[in-house]
Amino acid sequence: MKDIDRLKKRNRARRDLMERAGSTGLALSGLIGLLFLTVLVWQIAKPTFIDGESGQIESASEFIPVSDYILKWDHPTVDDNGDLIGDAVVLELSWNDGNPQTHEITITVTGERGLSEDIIVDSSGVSTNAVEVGKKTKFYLLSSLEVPVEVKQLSGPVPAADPTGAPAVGAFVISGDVDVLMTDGTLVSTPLEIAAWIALLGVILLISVPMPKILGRIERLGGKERAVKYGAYALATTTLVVGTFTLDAWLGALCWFMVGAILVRLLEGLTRLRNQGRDPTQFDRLKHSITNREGLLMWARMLFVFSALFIPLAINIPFLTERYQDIFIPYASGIRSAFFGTIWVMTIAMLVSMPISIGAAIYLEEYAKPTRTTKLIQALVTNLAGVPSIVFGMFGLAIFVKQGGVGLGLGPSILAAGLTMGVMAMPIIVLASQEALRSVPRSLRESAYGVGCTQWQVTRDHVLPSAMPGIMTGSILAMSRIMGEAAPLVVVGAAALVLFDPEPLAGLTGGNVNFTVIPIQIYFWTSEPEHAWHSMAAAASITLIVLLAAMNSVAIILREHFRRRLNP
Amino acid sequence: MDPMEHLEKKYGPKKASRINARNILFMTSLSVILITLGIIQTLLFEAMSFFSQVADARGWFTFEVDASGLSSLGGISLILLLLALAGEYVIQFKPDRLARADKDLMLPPKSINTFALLSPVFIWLGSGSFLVALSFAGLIFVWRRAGKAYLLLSGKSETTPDRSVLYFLGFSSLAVLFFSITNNHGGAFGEFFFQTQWTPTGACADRRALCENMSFGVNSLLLTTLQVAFGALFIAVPLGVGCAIYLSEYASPRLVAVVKPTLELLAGVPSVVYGFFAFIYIGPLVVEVGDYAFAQGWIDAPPNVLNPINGAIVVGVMILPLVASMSEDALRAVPNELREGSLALGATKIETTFNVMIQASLSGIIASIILALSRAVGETMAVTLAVGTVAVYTSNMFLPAQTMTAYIAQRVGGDLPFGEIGYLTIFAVGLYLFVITLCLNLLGNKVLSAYREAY
Amino acid sequence: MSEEIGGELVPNSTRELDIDGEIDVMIEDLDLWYSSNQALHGVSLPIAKNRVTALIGPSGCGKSTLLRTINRMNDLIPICRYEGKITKGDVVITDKGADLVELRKSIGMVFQRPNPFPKSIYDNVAYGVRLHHQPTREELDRIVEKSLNRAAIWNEVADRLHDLGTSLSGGQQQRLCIARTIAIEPDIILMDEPCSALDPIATAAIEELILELKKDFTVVIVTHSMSQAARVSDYTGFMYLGRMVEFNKTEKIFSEPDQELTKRYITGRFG
Repeated sequence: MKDIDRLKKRNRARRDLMERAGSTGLALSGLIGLLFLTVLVWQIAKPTFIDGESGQIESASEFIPVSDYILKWDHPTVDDNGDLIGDAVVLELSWNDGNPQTHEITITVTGERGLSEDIIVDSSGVSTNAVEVGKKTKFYLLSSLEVPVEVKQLSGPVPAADPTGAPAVGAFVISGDVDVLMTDGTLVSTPLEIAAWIALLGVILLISVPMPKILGRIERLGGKERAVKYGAYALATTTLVVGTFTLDAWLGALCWFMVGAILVRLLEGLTRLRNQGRDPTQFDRLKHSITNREGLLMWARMLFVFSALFIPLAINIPFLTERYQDIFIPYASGIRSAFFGTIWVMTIAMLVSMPISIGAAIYLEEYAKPTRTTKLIQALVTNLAGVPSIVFGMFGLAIFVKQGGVGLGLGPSILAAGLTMGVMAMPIIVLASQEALRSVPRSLRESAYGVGCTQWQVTRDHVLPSAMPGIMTGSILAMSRIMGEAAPLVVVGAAALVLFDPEPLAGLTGGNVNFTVIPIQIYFWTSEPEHAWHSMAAAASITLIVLLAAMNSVAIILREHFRRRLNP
Repeated sequence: MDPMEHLEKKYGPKKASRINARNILFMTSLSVILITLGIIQTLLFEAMSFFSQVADARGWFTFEVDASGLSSLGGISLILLLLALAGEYVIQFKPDRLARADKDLMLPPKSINTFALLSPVFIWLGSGSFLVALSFAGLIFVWRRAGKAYLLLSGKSETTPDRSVLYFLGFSSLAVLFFSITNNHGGAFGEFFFQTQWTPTGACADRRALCENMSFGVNSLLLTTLQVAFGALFIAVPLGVGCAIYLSEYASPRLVAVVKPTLELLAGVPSVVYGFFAFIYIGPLVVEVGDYAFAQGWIDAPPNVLNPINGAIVVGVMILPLVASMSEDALRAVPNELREGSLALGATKIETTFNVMIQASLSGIIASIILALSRAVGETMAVTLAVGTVAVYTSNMFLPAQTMTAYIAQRVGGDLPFGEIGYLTIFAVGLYLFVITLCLNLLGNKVLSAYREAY
Repeated sequence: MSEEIGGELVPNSTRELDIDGEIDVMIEDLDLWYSSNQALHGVSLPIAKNRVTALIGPSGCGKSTLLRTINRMNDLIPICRYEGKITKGDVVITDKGADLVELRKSIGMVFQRPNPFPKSIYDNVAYGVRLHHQPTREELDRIVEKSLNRAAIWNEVADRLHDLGTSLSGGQQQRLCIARTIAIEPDIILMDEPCSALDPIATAAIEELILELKKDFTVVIVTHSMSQAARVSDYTGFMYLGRMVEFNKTEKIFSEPDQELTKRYITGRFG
């Protein structure tokens, strides 16, 4: 018998029980997080897609527990011009305080604003059976009874209904039409743009699926790379001019560029194959030569998908791109000004922050010697990333918005907002880029120095290309983070109500500086007391989350692509 | 012909780059310094003009130390904490004195030990003061540490210096001292840092000027901020760390592939959406709980939809992904050999996790908690929508209150003319907020880098 | 039984060996795969009680894998599966329902890189004991001292038992890990290249320790150093490409091996 067996043993059953209980508990803690997400998504989706759908107050029943009940009538039946449509609303009130009573009340909604009359309920009955209330008016149901009163809507139109009684806004708050290629018998884009898109599709297919016949035909172009290139440029320019520099036109031009670049690369690859005495049908090698540098194929695919949203389709989501906020009819409101405000703020923030932060990251990683200054800058960057966003807003308020002193005096404008957001994104991008630069293997730098590169050449030609995916991913994630950020813009002075498209340079040129962004719109709509606005806030939240998810997935796709490429 | 010569003939000699890339890049990195200085300068400048305006009316600082706060329960807990602090000091710096201590006192029988560990609960129920119970628990904790140190001393060894308990006790005694003498100081600084009344919009004849009815005790904002932040940690730390442990130790790779992106998604949801969520969903739930508590007589006022508990829950959900992913990274960084070493001794998985893995990654986990705390303190939109806009100093967490960030957001929401007292208050509050989060970040990053060096 | 692999004839020894004394663990026809790669091919091996068995062979031949199968550490690798039978007395180790806690308690393991827990030296040694037993303070003190003594490190750490285990030097850390393993008094100690991360002096100390441990424990040691195998072991198995080429008494293997392949390996002509 060993010494150790003389000791008292621990209860084995209890140890096994602990093991099971512990692992279950830990799994539960993870599940609770998921549960929260589910509830969150459900709570946001519900008012957007479900309340909006029913739109109608279907013989709602409500118990009034005590006196002073306010029945809010947010959005009576008016058409787009504010004219009245439909029948009167008929409510049925019933209660039982020993003497059961039932009363019908007819409410007529007039076009006038601010007209209101209260209905008083007491044991003898109701004060009146017919009232007139103005459009967008609350009328009060005041009860001095001790018992609950049941309210039922017997008849009457639904909020913001069209003449047939259906909700004027459509089934959902967010709804839209999609037209493919043609809308009302005309093409959705100019033929050149569609041709560019189809050409891009063709080129992508050509690389993805081997087609020796077509490859053979392309091979005959060999030696005319320059002609192909300039041909693509010419087509791109024409597309731009014909398409009058709209977004579609820019995308079409990009498609032509991409087609040209891929064709040139393809021709080079074919030439190389021929020089090596190989058959052009040895497709894997060819594919390798095209996909492996700069991920040309991946960019082409991303461009294809992105331009597919604009060139062959006419997507029309009125909530997003057509409707401004309607002060009186929540369900008829949209986030057009907020949507464009967000795009402009993001653009300016990106233009400001990306060059500076990537430059700073390169300096800190590649050039700086570990002196005291460098360490200071490094510490500042690290801690700046954790400063609350609202402090950046105050910085923006004092530096960009305020006139006088050190203030630039841009006013509460898009430009000030974009600069503030850019400053906020800087430390995040610097840290992500540094991480990416640090992960470039030392051997790559050393081998480049070994062939006599200067430091800048090493950085430009070897380190930056390897680190680019990490930098891009970090930048996109930083952008998506500031896109959802509302606090600094509240401080900078985003407006609650903007009824026009924002002017990006209004801070400099004069003009109307007011702007808003989607998170701000959500904030102000949530602060409204009426429930209909909360549905709108939910709809805007859904929009924002979808936009953010799209950006994050682009970042994740990029990261995965390059990770696979670097460690195959 | 030499190929290089051929190239030179064709393209001309290679030109050296004229732009000095190094200097340009250095300029860009200087911008970071400029921004930081700009932030500090802005905050300091405006905050100082706030203090000087208030000081013009009330003087800078007046000492009216009134010990009435100390004679109450706060005083008792302060004494308990100071005793604990003294004990910890002896453990750390004068261990030889410990060796001379009575053996029975240091190593009591098990029954007394159990009773001592339970006594804070009795004290809580008896005195009704959570603070006193907490301080007593601290004292008991230090006593048990002393017992452990006594044991170690008998093993002829020196204790390794671990000052964290010392710092923590020192900090809490300062905090208790601070809150028990709160409300007894005047002057610009004294009022701001020591008083609890926050009414920056007094009913004055001239809105722009400072007047007697205004009061700038930031502690009511600070208290709510701390309530929300620590309440959030109360939710996020057990769930987040539990989730991290499960993901790194138990979950199959396929499950991790599902849960991790979900956590990333949860982290990517904007805070204003969380605020909306709190407003329409969590608030009403909390009110139901509060109604029950009110009916039972546990709280003295009926609950409101906007309250710090609501804010704490939603901020807790917000920082949960941060805690989970940073703690998971810390756990994953622990070398696999440690895990195998423990399992090879016949430990079960949960024993390995709690005895070895957590201990090995502790500083990483602590860093994640500190950084999450800093995030919770600085969180704005969700808190503004969830907690309310009434600055009150109360321990009843079911009533509307206002945090520091919410005050700034709400105050600038209206038109705020530059240079007037309302405009200046937000910078004073902002500076305080900045200093708090900066300290937390410095601490968190220091813990983090110490941890990175270890592995 | 031999197989031709890559132009090389690799024999697979499955024959029962005459072993002086008792057989502690018997491995029979063990096949092991990492997803679809087969790492062990029908390996059989008897392990003698209170003797040192060494496993030698070139890198990647499966000797560490074989060792890790004996206390089922391979179960931690999700892509790993195996067939075959390992028995220890009446206990079938490879049985699905085997009690891993008891198994690993009775088969200790020392790893390639020293891996002391981030605890004090005392707690490192006491850890395993506390897991399985509820010792009183005095008992625990005695066990810690005894284990450290047996691992020949007591004299070096007696005055700093409460320092962190990670603060020791590499060789000391490895001996601490051995002390940790023998504190719970297993029957068998598996050593996975215990000296590969150590300097020659520390290696000598560990080798001496292994010879000492042999009195109380069965030791299985994986090593890439043939001289080490020759110095410390009683039996040696030579593995190549996942097969047990030859297993015999150490003197026999190093003086007159049966297989041509073994001969070429120990004379240093490949591997």
